[in-house]
Amino acid sequence: MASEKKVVFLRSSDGEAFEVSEEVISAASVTIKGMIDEESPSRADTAATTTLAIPNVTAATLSRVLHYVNKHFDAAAVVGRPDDYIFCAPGDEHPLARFDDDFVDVDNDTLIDLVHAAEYLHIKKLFDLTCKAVADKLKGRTIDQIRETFGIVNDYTVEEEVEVYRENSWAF
Amino acid sequence: MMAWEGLGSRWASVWVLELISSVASGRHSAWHHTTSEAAACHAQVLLPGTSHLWLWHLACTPEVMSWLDPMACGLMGDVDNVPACSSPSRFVLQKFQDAKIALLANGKDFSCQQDGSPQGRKRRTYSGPDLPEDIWRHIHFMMPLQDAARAACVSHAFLGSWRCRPDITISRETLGLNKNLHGKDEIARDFNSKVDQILKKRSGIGLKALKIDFCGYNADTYSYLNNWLEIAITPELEELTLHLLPNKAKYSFPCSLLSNGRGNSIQHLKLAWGTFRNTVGLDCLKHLTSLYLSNVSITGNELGCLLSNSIALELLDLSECYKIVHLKIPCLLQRLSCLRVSTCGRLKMIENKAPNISSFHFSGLDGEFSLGESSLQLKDMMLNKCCTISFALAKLPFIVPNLEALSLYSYYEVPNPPMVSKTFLHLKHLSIKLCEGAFFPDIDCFYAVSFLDAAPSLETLLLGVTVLRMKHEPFVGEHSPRRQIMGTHHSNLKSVKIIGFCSAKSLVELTCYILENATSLDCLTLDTTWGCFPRCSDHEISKCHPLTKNIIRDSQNALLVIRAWIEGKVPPSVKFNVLGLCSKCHNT
Repeated sequence: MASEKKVVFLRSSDGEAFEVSEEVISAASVTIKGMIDEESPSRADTAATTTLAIPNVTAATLSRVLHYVNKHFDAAAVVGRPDDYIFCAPGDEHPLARFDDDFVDVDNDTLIDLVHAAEYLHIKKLFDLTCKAVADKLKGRTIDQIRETFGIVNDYTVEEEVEVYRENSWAF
Repeated sequence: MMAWEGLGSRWASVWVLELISSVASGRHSAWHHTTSEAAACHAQVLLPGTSHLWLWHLACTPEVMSWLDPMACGLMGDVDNVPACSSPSRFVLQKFQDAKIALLANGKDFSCQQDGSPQGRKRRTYSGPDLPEDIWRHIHFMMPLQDAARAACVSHAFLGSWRCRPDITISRETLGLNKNLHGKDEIARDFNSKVDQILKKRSGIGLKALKIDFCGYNADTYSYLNNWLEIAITPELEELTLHLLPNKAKYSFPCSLLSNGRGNSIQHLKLAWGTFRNTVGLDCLKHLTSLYLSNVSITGNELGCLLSNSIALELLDLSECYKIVHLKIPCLLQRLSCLRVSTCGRLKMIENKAPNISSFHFSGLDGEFSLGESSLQLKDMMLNKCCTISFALAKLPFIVPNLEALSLYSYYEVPNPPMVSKTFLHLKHLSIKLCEGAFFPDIDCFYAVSFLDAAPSLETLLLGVTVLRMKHEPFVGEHSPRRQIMGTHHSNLKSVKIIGFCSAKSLVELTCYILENATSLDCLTLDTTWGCFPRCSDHEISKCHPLTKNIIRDSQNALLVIRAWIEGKVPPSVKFNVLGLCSKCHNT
């Protein structure tokens, strides 16, 4: 039995449970590693598999997060650099770059949910990836478009707004 | 026009703002003319009593300018004829003209992205996914400089995070400098005023890294720079990079700004093209861990003063600092682990007393070095000097016996390099590049075997022999007799790569020798190209870099030789890579 990989179940806010390797999720998420470490003493007594409640993350988001985690943190699944790295094109340096690009190519709401989840679960790589994706979505937008896209309230008075435009007029 | 008079001043103002923003973002197609007229009327209504900032703002958009300018001039006449006391009218008109001049000069394009339909005229209330402020801040910091500055106009929170952006990199690209600007003076003016706008409002709050890559120089450039450094150098700044211009009037770095504890937080300092003087008494770089000086006018003594106070220094990189003749590294620098000195033209001597240097890179035709106590610590070395190969074979095993990685660049060698009298017991990685320039006519690559014999632990060997193409004796199938009798087993050698492989006899013999004697070889790579030109398969370009007929012919000859004399000798356990020119782009 010892050779079998330990698994944990993560229960999303809407009640769906997902199975994931304990080793993989511990490497990825500081939050879940903390939960598992807390559970450990009581787990030693029983053979039952642990189920951890993730109250802030929905099933749809959690499944995406686990897809990412399994790609990035499962040593067995991570594709290493090919032996003949000398002939790799520059774009091939990170075998997961394309996966990452596709992963964050989602609608804004999904992306924001992923940012929240990555922050709550404390998965730094995913947090940086999703934040960068939001930053990329903001690039080249007008002020109104940014506010509209991400539901940001304009809290400037008219005078303030003019002043801040003036302060940053170089960028327009 | 009557309708506008009925509106409260605030709503009228809001409407104008919406209009401007719409025009600026390109949403002006069908309703442009009607709104233009309406706004013109509105502007008349506003002119006498309301904030002149409005009109300044209006003036910032090219479309608004085009119809507002005649209107304004018609209303008020020539700006010079407006009495100074008739404020704000004169001020407003002046602003119009200034803004328009700036616009015309810059050829600005205010449109970022078009999104089609015209927007409503009321201030909208927004609702949507909410992120906490600290996450927005993190995201905002990740945006490129120009986009981040624009986003500051989104809300107070964005403005707040813009003003404390920790990392500011200023260059032609990040500022989005207009490519249509010509002349150093014009570029410098634009550059200076933009950087001024960015830095003046900050007062250095939260600034951790400032990098300025100058473009354009005018008489004011250095006084601007002094002001920026005054703002930026605070007890929070950790990284400062100044890439100045190769100008006759060199910028003298204001060392006084680093005094009184202000420079104590700086960990990384990079300066290119400037003067570093008055280093005496500079005692505030206690946390400096890396120092890069390139083309900086600083004497050995001045640098010595600087170093003697930089006790945390881990990396020192000097290049083309032509005033240094004698470089002394004091023993105080206990943490210094990496020393790189390249092409300091007048350098005669490097005298190191720092005890823990593990990496030393030196490039310069003349110049001696003594590594002191670090000799035994040294793990990684790069040498680029006269007769590097001969020097390395004859002297290095005695000077740096514990070396693990060695890179040699050779411009000139004497024939028949000396045999090795002592071995590099720990050398694992060796890279040798023959550079173009003066070299003896029939360089014999078989010298590499001397290194293989001298380095029993060697695992990887990289040979760059592109220069050989210029003249070599081709291999025609017969080995030199002396080479067949040699043969020590090199049981640790795993990977060999030869860049610029050609049909030179000594090269083919070397390759055969390696295949026969490197019993643990995993990978052999023969690159018959020059290894440095972009290829259509590697880069996002449609066609490979064009090459001369000679290069193409040499590469094809090399492939023939490989096929005839080498391929058959490669054991099945060895991964054999041959890189030829792309047949699609170089089909002769």
